[in-house]
Amino acid sequence: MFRYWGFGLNILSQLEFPELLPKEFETADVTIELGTIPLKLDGDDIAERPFSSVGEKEYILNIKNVCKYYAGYGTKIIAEPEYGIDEKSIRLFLLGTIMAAILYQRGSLPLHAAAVIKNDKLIIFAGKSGAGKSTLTALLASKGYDIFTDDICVMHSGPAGKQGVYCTASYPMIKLWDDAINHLESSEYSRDYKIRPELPKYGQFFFENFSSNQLPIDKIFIIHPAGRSEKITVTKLTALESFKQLELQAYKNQLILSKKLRMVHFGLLSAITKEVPVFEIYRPAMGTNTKQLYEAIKNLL
Amino acid sequence: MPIRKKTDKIVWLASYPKSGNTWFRAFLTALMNDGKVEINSLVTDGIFSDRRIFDFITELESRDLTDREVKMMIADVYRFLSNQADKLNIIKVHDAFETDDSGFNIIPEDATSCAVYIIRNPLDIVGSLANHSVCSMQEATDMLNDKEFSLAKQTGNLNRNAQFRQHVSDWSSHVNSWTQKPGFPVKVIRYEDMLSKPNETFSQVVEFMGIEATPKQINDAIHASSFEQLSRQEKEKGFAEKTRKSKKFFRTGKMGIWKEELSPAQISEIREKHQEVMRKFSYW
Repeated sequence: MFRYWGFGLNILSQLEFPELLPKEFETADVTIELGTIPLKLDGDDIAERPFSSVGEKEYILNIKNVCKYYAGYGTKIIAEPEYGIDEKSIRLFLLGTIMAAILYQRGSLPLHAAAVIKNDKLIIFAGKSGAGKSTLTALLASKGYDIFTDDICVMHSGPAGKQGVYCTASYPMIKLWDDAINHLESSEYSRDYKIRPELPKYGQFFFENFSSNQLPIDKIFIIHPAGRSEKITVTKLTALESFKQLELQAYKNQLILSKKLRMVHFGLLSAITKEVPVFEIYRPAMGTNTKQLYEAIKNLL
Repeated sequence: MPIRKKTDKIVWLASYPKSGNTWFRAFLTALMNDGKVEINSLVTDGIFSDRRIFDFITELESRDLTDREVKMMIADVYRFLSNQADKLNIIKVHDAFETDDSGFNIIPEDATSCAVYIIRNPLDIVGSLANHSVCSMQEATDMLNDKEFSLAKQTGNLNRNAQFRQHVSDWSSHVNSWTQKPGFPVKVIRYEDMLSKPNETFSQVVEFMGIEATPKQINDAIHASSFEQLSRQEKEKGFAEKTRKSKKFFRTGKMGIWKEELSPAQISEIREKHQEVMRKFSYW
């Protein structure tokens, strides 16, 4: 069995995960194993969707020709791969949607966001896929910022004795498309580790500077990729606007079924919007590059 | 206000690109909205190739999937949507009616009520396509004749744009795919009839779709969605569906403009290639 840290959790896994941080521990928070999975969940209050079965504490996802997954009670993941599928594909979806299900089952809030560290606090870039979070984060890394996380930033209330909302990273790898690597013009980013055999998207590991600490938030930027304006616009949001916008950035928020979980999120987001400035960035649909985006926000960082 | 029939099935608004699909959606919007239409808020229910709908329903990031994988899942997405719907679902589609790699239709027939197929003289499509794609008349002619022609084509079989790749095929194959293959009713309406005898044409299709509307409501909607009205709105407020490079979406709205735009060689090329289907739909 392999032992890792990821998403703030000790993970005991039958599958090897080069993306996660190796760590010794005695008690696992989450186990990952191979096994067989029923087609659907049993019981009341199960939402049946084309490829999934969603309950408050259990989840089944079936990706045709790739893998079927089970996530239960915030502690257990089972993967049932299709015959002949590569392990990278199995891991990619497990580290995305399936871990989001586990985090929701545990009462956490995984934000669809990347983040960098500045003076032991986080600058968070939230947004849907394609917003440019990862490329901006990589650009900031080349300007001296340490990368905290890519794609998912786990939010929770502060550690014992500390007020406010804190965040935990997912794992020490950032994913960059081939063209983003070209755009960044940095020898630091390589094409050594394809995240799926058919995708020209490459994992960049940052184990050396990785922080598994819980860190407070300095500020949040929400990036929208298709604004109607011809220029990049950056607007500071009111607390109410921040709340509404951040709620939409919860990763795979269609997995949130329970009222109780919504209340936990309500508390977290209310606390964030009271103490943290939130900015909204619209990138023109005409396309702007990440260097222009950096120029537009560098004075706010 | 006209009544949108309560049904759990989908009505597809299918067409080869630049054949009047947006105009027809503007008409439906005006019809559903007491004769008012705002081009950036059309009331129909999106486009088949919208990545956001797919990502929401599948709980996946389709950027991590190949186009081939998406095409094998997309029918189930729309099956689910049709089951969830509490009203008539009207969805635009430019994809040809075809199968995925496993041999299943990408359009789920069992989730479909019917389709409206809007057809336009291919000779007139060329100029519109050239304007939309910002290319020459010859390049647009080549697209019309190209079996591999796709909208939102993305390198390496990927899905990174707001829309998935839509395999359109050549004009005749597209028309044949939608008018011959589906196992559900398909109403073909000609762009030219929408222009020259609008009341008769729009009334027929409204009835076909199961929407209850009076002749006055239909007449008001036709006027509210006229080319002049839509073009004026685009000039004033812009149109979100215009491609990034093209100057305007609503160009001339006329028929027969090919006589001024195409060279004799381009006309012969299209006629030679599409003669059979052009004859069938009275474009000869």
